[in-house]
Amino acid sequence: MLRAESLCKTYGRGAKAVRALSEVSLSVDAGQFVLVRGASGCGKTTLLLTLGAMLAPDSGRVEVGGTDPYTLNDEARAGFRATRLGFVFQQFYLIPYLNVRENVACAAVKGTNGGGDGRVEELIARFGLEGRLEHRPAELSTGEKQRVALARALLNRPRLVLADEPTGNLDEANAQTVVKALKDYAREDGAAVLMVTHDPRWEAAADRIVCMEYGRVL
Amino acid sequence: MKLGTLMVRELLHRKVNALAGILAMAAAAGACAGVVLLLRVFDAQTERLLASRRTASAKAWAIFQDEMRKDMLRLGFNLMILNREQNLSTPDEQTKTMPEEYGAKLAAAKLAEINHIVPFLQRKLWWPEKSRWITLVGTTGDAYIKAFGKQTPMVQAVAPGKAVPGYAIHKGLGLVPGQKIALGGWTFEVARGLEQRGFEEDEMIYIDLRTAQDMLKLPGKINGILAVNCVCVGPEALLTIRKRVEALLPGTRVIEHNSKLVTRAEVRGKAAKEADAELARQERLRTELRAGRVTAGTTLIPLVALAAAFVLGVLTWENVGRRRLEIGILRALGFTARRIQALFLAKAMAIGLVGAAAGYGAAVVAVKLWLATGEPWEMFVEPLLPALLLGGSLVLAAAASWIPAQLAAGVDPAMVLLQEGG
Ligand SMILES: Nc1ncnc2c1ncn2[C@@H]1O[C@H](COP(=O)(O)OP(=O)(O)OP(=O)(O)O)[C@@H](O)[C@H]1O
Ligand SMILES: [Mg+2]
Repeated sequence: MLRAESLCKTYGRGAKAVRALSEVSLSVDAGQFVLVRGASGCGKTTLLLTLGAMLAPDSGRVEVGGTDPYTLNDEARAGFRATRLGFVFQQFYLIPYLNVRENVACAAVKGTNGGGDGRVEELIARFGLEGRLEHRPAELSTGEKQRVALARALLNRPRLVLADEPTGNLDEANAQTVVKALKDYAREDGAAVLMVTHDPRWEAAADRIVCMEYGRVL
Repeated sequence: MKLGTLMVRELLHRKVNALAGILAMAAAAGACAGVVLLLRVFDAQTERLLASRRTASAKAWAIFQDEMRKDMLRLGFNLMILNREQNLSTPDEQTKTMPEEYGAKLAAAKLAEINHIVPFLQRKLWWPEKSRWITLVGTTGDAYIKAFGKQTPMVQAVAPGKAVPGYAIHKGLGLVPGQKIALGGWTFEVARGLEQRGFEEDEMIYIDLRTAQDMLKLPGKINGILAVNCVCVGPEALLTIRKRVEALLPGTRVIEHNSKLVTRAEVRGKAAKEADAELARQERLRTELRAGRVTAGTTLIPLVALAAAFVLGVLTWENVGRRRLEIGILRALGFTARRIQALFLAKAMAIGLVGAAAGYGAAVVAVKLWLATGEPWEMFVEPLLPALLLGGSLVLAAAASWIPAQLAAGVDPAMVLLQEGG
């Protein structure tokens, strides 16, 4: 499902240049739940953004479901993200002025089965948010926020889910829920799920663990 | 999700930003509408004012007509056309002259109000042969008679070599027709004597104009022209007859002679003329005032529009800066750059539209209730001005937010997400 070959990414130039990715190769099959581990600053977020069709690598190649998103123009690449990819972030990144339902639905795209066919309600029910439909993010607990973010990420049935430390701000129980949801999504919907984390507790749940150090995969 | 929903939610979420924009646009639209509406009120007031002046002037002319009609039934006028430099205090000593053709020229003009034209050359002189003063008058008789054949001439022509003495002269000297008289070395035969008419004329001797010119060594010259009226014209003509004749015959002055009609018309016409002058003065004044207002308005409108555009631009720019993370998230979720740009443009345009509507409404209410309570609502409520304001505000808002919206579209989601601590 996801293949990355020899990805290199350097921020800045000259003396200030930081090599965030060097020769990273990686592949995740459909149905797999893969963890990425590594110290802070080793390039995990950079990797996720590169795989997520938002940050073009300096060299190397990314392929998601057979398509290299960096061969697409900006507009097509946005559509590619909307239909093929789901993102979950540590800080949830909900839209503050939209309520729970709207936050889940805001990424709905015509042509996927994201909008209008009960998918929103299904996800809201799956993540136990039925009583919170009209609430704004500011009125939610952190666990609820992350569940809303999860529902939003899964709305368009993405083939690849990229989660950047989604449990970093959560308590044990909520973290468990999130990890289980991601793993279940990989299993049941046959998607590739890549989750960045520092936390060794989730290693047991993973199909594979990718360790990074100084921009390299060990 | 529809852009409209997203836009409205955000507008309501960041009310202060939205309100500030609306206020700026409302101020601009209100100022524009105010300028236009005040001008409209001003024009209505002008129309009323001038209408009342026109009525006053028409009334004054009606009074003039009425009064003059009575006078003209009874009276006629005589005009004496003299050289402009002639001293009127000694009319006997008419030493200033004008070309003889002036008589023909005036006749050729065929002025409707003039009936008879009599050119003359006259001079008071000493008659050495008889040791007395006389007034010698050279005449051709009437140079022009309007209704020729129906009217008898004012003055009969005198044949060369003949003389027609006034009553005082032929009575005093016992002159009879056929008798020869010597006058300054010239000899004339008395043609007939005149009836007693009055003081001046009784001391005159009429001879042929050409002979008089030779005697006085003034070839081709006359002293003046007597023009006598016809009452077949309206009284307004009397007010301008003197000016028209003077314009026709350069270097002359026209005075009324032994009649009062023209002078009376001039006195009576004064009120009407003043009413006309007042109307003209008011018209000029209002035109000037209006021009001043238009100038002020056309200076003010671009200024307030520019200020509103500036405020809206800055607010949109600030909004883009504040929403960088949001833009990054939406871009990550698959929003295209173009939709992001549209989002900010649409927001600015919505603010422009609401602001313009509010400003227009406020201006209408303020002008109507405050400054123009007497004017009807219809003067203020019509579709063109609000349509222009709304259309203008859309264009202005789009232009003002174009660059910030472009910046928003250019936000790189990867950089935002990295910086926000991914
Ligand atoms: N915009 C940037 N310009 C320059 N250097 C950057 C930029 N963004 C990230 N870096 C650097 O690139 C390296 C990789 O950063 P990245 O955020 O991918 O690490 P990370 O593994 O996600 O760290 P963390 O666990 O703290 O989130 C770091 O050394 C970081 O300082
Ligand atoms: Mg990171």
